[in-house]
Amino acid sequence: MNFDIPIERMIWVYAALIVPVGIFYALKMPALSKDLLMAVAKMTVQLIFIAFYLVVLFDLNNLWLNLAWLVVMVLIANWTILGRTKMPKKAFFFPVLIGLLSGTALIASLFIGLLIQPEPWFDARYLIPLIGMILGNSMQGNVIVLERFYHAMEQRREEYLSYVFMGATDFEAARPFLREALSAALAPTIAMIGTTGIVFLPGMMTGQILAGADPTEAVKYQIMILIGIAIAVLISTLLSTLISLRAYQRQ
Amino acid sequence: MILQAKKITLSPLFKDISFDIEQGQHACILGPSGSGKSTLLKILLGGQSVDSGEILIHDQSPDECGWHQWRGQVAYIPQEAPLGIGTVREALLLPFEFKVHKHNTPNDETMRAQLKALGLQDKHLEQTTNKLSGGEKQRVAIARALLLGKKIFIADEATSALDKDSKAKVIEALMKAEHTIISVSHDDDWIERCTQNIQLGGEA
Repeated sequence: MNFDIPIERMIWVYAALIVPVGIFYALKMPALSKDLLMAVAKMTVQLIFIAFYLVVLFDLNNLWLNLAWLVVMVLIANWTILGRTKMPKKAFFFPVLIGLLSGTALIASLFIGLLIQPEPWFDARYLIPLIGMILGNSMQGNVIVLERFYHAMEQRREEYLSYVFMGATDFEAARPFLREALSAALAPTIAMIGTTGIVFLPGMMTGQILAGADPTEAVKYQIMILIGIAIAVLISTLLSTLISLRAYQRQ
Repeated sequence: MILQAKKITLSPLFKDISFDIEQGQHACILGPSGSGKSTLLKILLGGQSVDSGEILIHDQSPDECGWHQWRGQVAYIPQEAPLGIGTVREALLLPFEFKVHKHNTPNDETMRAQLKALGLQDKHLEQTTNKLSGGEKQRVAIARALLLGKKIFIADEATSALDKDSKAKVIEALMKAEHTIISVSHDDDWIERCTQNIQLGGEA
């Protein structure tokens, strides 16, 4: 009952790209065409690499190799956040790193230690996709929060100063901006949690079901993942903002 | 002496600016545009450092008590006060989230009374601030400053968006004998009611 896709049939999904490219051409948006094709090429290379890498990783299932791979994932997430938000890399590297590590470590230990309890605990089949999912969402959250927050702090400097002049501490004056940025980052996650199951089936659940898992099994994982993501996103964004804010206000 | 400035120098704007504002005085800083009226207010709030000179509230400088404590003694009315995106109640309560003002947090009744004193209505408390007119927003900002319960006010164009009636109410509420005010204004009615002028820009 498990239908693997023969590799040669993959050509059709790439061929389907003619549709967006055609639309972009008609709308005179060649730049977006190029961006899309470049992104697809990049994704293909990365996923082929990952597929082989994961096969090796799953086979060896070595504690240190798995942990080393997690470190690489965290660093890439960090790098991506700093690049996309155009934050000064030196000042923001450690704050974002601490945020990502704290949120991810907390939720990963909840998943691995309490819920799934795989043998061995560092089993790559669980550890790596789960942490990948948490990190991916934390990464998006961090991009939104850092961008929003520091943009507001620059653009609405007068408002910030008004709060300071009204007697706010540095942190108190920044808090209204922090609230706005956090709700902007969490609103999509919360909305997604609320509509999951009716409007859409999340990628992970779809993947599990397509790969032949029992839907009830997939649902349990999905509940765990969605709640975990919301918490991890909140913790990682809050910490990276608070820690970077101290450095920002000192300058 | 409530508020004093001693020989404030900030090149090239000010050279040895001094003034004393006594209890109950309502002072207005006057001078042509570019003479540094708003900058002087900023200096009093710690938003602008000076080359030399000293400022004192109750004979205490901000260096002695810390800027945070210093600002906690005054109610600041900015020219464009941030009211947030929520209701008027939330806007009024905003500064009371700050530690220095927390103990003064007003209840709904007090807030309604303050709004009424400035010609606003009960129902305004529940309204979102983006539905207010410019004049209403300004009065909400002034109500907020009054609710802080301070005796010293620093006001930057407090009446710029107000019609005659609301202006009279604002002046009545702010310019009480127990309030000491330092302000910048281009409004003749406000300037006329001030009891002390601080002239900048060389004109006497």
